[in-house]
Amino acid sequence: MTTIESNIIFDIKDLNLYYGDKIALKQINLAIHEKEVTALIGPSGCGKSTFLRTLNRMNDLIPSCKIDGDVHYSDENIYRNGMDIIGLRKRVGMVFQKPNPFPMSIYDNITYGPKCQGIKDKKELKEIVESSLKQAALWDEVKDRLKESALSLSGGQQQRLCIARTIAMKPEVILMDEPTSALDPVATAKIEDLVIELKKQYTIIIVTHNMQQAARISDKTAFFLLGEIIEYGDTSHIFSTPDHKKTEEYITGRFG
Amino acid sequence: MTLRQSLLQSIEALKKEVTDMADLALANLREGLTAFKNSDHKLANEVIRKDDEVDSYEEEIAKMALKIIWKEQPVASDLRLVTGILKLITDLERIGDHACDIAEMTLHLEENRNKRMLPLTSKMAEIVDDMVLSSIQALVKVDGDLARKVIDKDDEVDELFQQLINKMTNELKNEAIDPNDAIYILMVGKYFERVGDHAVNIAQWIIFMVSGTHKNTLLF
Repeated sequence: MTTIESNIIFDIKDLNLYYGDKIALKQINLAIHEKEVTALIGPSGCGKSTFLRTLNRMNDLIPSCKIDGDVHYSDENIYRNGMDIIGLRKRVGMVFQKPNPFPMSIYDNITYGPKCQGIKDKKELKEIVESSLKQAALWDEVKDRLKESALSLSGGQQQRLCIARTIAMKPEVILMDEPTSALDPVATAKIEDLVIELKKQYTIIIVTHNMQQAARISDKTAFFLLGEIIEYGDTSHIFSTPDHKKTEEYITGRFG
Repeated sequence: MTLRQSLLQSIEALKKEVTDMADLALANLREGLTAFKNSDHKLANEVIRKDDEVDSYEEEIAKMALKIIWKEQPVASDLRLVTGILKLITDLERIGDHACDIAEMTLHLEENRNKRMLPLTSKMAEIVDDMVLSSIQALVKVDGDLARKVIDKDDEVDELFQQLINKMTNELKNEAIDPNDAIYILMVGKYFERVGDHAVNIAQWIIFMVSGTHKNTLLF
């Protein structure tokens, strides 16, 4: 078997995370590769979403949360003092479980972030809207109704709008926390196709409860259990001949 | 608690069915060998009649395996087991076919005409019987080590078949055997040799079930 090693974009070393006295992530060591899709799988409460949120410091919003260890992103420890967190979240965008468009027009949803960044030129904003919606495979469906409310879109369209809104900030990494769990099968298939398309330009890290989804769209898979990474490797390896008994038992449904 | 009861039950049912098929193929092979050894035409006809049963097992197991794949979408060891079974039932069916072929050859041979070749063919029969039995045991236990032992035995069968060819050639040169009998006995020898090959194929799929590797190639 040959594996072409791409560049490491996130290098996590000895990461521990605590909610108050309770340890939620234990000794996480993981290297995430650029322009690949990495799936995080594991039973509920295993720490996968918590881990995802450490990658753009979303856990900072939880007062009892404490972290030790290193999270290196492009050779920079994002937990160092004086880290530009707003800049980090611009480069490491996030899409959530439930589509959460702003209650404003489709056009304004996309331009909200760039405007906050100081972009005022209408032509430039228009270009950002078009290119973001095209990349999110939504342009053809909404190009004639950009001034309509984003809330008028279907759930699947709203989720693709949220992806377009993330793309508008020109990120390097997109974190996705169960992005299809609230969607129907057709909308799910569209998001999955989109993820595969987007990895040409972006690094994608996705939490999913759907094992088939992880198998379909990811290059690497990390299996979490009780706050630890039990096994991490090529998705083809994890789903065919996993090394660890617990991984085998989880993916074959012996426990959940 | 196990989450996927229906997957586990389907897999158990599949394993039972393939074991039954293997038992039947081995029983037919043994009866074919006995018929050949004893020039027992009645038993030979019985073996020929029973070949349809082995064939229908193959179809039934293929249906069960495909149903597990579309319905349960198995992964890891479950996927390797189901796909391995889907592949090795072809070899079990062929073993059944060759039992039938040996029985047919028996019908062509007059009583006592094959006696002089019996030491060689009996030895071949003994080894292939052991190989098929061991491959079935390896299948039931999903035992890679036992499967490897089956593969190692194949050279002995090939060597005995070569000896049979040499012996037949000499007998024919010396006009010591009826050419028709020589052809039928050689064909029986060839069927033994092929049964050994099918036992090896089964063993290779068992190794795949254990490791994901088939003939030293990782298939995933």
